[in-house]
Amino acid sequence: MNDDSLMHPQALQQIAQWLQAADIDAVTIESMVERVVLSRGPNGYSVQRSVAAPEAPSDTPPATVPPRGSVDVLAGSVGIFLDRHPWRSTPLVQPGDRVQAGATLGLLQIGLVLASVVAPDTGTVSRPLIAPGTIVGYGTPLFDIATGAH
Amino acid sequence: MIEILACGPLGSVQDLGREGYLRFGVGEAGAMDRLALMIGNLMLDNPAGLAGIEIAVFPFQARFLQDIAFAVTGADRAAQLDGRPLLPWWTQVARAGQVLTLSGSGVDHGAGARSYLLCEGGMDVPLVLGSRSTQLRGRFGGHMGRTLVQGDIVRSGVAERRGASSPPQDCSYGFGVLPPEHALPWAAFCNAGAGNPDIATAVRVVPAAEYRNFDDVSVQNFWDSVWRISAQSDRYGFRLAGPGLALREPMETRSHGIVPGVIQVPPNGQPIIQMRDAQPTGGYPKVGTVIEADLWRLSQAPTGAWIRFVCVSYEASVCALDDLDAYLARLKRHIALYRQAAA
Repeated sequence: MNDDSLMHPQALQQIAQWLQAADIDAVTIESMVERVVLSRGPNGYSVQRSVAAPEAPSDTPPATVPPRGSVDVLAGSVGIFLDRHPWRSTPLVQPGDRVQAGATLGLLQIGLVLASVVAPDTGTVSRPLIAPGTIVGYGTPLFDIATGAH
Repeated sequence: MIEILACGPLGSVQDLGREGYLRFGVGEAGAMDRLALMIGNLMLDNPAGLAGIEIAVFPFQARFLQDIAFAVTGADRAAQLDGRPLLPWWTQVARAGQVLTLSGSGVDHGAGARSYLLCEGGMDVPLVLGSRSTQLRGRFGGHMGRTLVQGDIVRSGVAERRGASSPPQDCSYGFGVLPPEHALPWAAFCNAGAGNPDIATAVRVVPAAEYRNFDDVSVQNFWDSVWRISAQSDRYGFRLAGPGLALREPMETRSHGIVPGVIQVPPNGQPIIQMRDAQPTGGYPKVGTVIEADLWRLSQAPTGAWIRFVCVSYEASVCALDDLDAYLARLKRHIALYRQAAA
C-alpha cells in the first residue's frame, strides 16, 4: 500500500468497529486522490477503494441550487429523518408555516439520540424534501425556506 | 437553583434510592421510574444516580434561578420553557429567569404517570444514609424530608461541576433521546395483549415464596387476567382490582423483609404491588415479585390502567437487568458520539 493511501488497515479496522458500535451500514470517505467505501456485509465490513476522478459521480444527487431568496435546510448528520417526535401525532411544522431562525423543523434519529433539524434562517418552510423515515446522509437537503418579506 | 412555583402533592426529590439499610427497617425510597431518572442524567452528562425531582401530579411549574442545562424525562406532560414547547425526553439549556411548565394537557401519547426534572450537577440536597432520596414515611432525606411545595428553592450541584460563572456549552444541549419503550418494548416478552390499547404494560414476575399456597384457579387467574391499577395506588404500593386470589388453606406468616416489586395478597384477595415507599416488612402471603428490571414500566402505568403479568424464571430476571445495563451503555455511547459531533 503506498504512503499516499487514505487509510491504513488498522485505521480501517478501527473505523469498522465504530461503525458496528453505532449500527451504521456504510460510510464513504473521499480524498483528492481516492475514495474508500466501507460497507457492512454478512461477514463484517468490506472495503472498496477507487481512484477519485475529478468529476466522478457521487452516490448522492448533486446539491440542489436553491432559487434565489431561498435557503436549504441540510441534514447535519447521517440519520433517519423524522417530521415529528415519535410521541406526537402532528408534524413539527406544516408546509407554508412561517418559521424563525433556530426553530425545530424536524428531527434526525441517530441511533438512540434525536437531534433537531433547525431552521438556519427566518422564512416560510416548504414541505419535507425527503420522506419521513428515510435514512439521510450528511448534507442532504431536508427543507427549503423561502426567505424575504411576504 | 430552581424555585418551585406550582407543585401538586407528591412531588419530591429522589435519586436511585437508599440502598443497604432495609435490614435496619429503612425503606429504599428513590425514583419510581429509575430508568427515566438515569436517562435524564445521562443526557446531561451527569453520573446516572444524581437526584432529580419526581413529579406525579400536574401542573408543575418551576423557575430556573441560574443558567443551567436541564432534562425532562418520563411521562409526556406538554413541557414548555417560557411558553415554548419542549419535546418529550429532551434536554435544553435554561437561562436564569426562565419558567418550566408541565401542564398535563395536549398530550397525544398514551398516558405515563410520572415525569422527572433533572439538572446539570443534580439536585443538591444533603446526603442522608448515602442517598438524596426523600424518605416520606420517616420524614428525612431529599428536600427537608417532605414533598415539594410552592416557594421551595432547590439547589443544583452545578457549581461543583464547573465554575458557577461559566455558562453551559449551548452546542451540546438541545437534543432528545428515543423513549425507552422503543428499545425495550414489553411486546418483546408478551404477545398476548400487544396492540390492545387498553393494556398499559405487561411486566415480568418471578413466583414468590408463597406462590404454591394459592389454589390452582387463583394461579391461573393471576397470569391470565388483566389487572386494573386502582385509585388506591401511590408510592407505597399499587392496589390492583381483578379476580380474588385465594389460598388453598389459611396460613399465617410472620412479618418478614420485603422489597419493592413484591406482590402481596391480603385477606380480601386483591393483590398489592409494593413500590418504592413500601414498608420494609410485611406478613401477607406473596404470590410473586415484579422483576427489578420492569419496575420502571409499572411506575409509568397510571391509575385506571390495565396491566398483566408474565411468568419468568429468576435467571431470566437477572438477564433482564443485563439488558437494561446494555441499553444504558449503548445510550451513553450514542449521546457521547452526538456531543462530540455537535461540539
